Amino acid sequence: MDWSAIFLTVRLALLVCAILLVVGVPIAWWLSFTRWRWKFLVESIVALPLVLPPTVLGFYVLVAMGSNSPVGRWYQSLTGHGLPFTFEGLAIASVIYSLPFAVQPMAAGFSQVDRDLINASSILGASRIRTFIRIVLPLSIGGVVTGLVLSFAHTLGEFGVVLMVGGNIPGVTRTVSIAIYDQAQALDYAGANRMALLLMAFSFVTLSITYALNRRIWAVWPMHR
Amino acid sequence: MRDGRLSVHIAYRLSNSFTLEAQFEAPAGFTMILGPSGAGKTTILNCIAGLARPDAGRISLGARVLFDSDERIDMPVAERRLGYVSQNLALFPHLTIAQNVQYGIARMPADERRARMMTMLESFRIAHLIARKPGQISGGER
Repeated sequence: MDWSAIFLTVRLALLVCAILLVVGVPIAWWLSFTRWRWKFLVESIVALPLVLPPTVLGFYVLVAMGSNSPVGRWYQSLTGHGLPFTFEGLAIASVIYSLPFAVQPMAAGFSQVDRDLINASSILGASRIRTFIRIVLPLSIGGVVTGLVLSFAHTLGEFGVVLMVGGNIPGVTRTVSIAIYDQAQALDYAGANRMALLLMAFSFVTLSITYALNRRIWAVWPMHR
Repeated sequence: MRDGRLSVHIAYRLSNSFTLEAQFEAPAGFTMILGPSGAGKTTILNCIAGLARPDAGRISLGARVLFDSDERIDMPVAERRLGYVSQNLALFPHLTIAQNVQYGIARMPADERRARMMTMLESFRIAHLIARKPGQISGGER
C-alpha cells in the first residue's frame, strides 16, 4: 500500500475544501442574488470543469502557471520556484477543477432561502454579513456541506489534471489515482486493487455521511412555516 | 418614525411595457396607498424600505436622503431604520420565538433585550412559547 500517496491525497483534498469554502461561498452567494444580465457567462465559466476533459483543463492551467505567463513569473519571483509539478500548483488546479462541485450545491442552497426572511433580517438592522451568518447559512447548511463533501470526494479521485499539472512525483504530487494507474501498468493488480478498493470504500462512506447528515438537518430545522 | 415628511419621486421599470412612476409627499402620521392589484403599491413600499432599487428618482425622509439616483445615494436597508410588516409571515424557522423577537434589538444589553421581549410577549399572552420554533406553534400564535 502506497501510504505516502494516500496521505498526500487526503492532505490535498482537505486543503482544496478549505480554499473552496473561502472562495466558493462568496461566488455562490453572488450567483444566487445578483441580477446582472451577464451572470450566465460567469455560471458557464464556473461549470466548465464539469464538461471539459481534465487534460484540456490541466493543459491550460499548466500554461497559465508556467514561467512564460505573468501569473507563473509573479509566483516565481515571490517564492523562488515555479508552480507546475509542485503541491501548491496541484492544489490550485484542483480548486479550479472542483469549483463547480462546491459552488453549484451552495448556490442551490442559498437560492432556496426565502427572500422574505433575508429582507426581514435587513429591515431589522442586520448587516449583510450578519444576515448571512445568522439566517442564510443555517437555512442552507445542507447545500454548503454537500458542496464541500463533493469537492473532497472529487479531489480524491482526480487523475487527468494531476497528471498534467502535477506529474508523478512521490510525496509531492503522486496521488492515489496516479499510484493505482502505475500499479495497473506494472501489472501489480493486487496492489492496484487494494488502493482502488480503499478509495471506493472511502468515497462511499463519505457520501453516506453527507446524505445522513443532510437528512437530520432537514428534520431538525423544519422548512415549513 | 417621527422624523418628518416622507418625499417620494421615483421611476421603476417593472417590465418592458410597464414603468411605475410615483410622486408624493406624506406628512408624519398614517398614510394609505390605495390602488388595484398590480399597480405597484408593494413596489413603492419596497423602494422606500430599500428592498427594491428604483431606476431613477429620489426618496427622502425628513432630512435623511434614502435614495437619490442623480447623487448615487442608495442607503443600505439596515441603515434606513424603518419598520416593515411583510405580506407573508417572516419568522425565522430555525430560531426560537425568543430569538425571533430579539433579532431586531441585538445591539441592546442582554437583560434589557430579554425584559423587552417578555413585556411584548406577555401583552400578546404568548410568553409560554419562547422556547419553541415557528413550526411548532399554531397559525394564530404566529
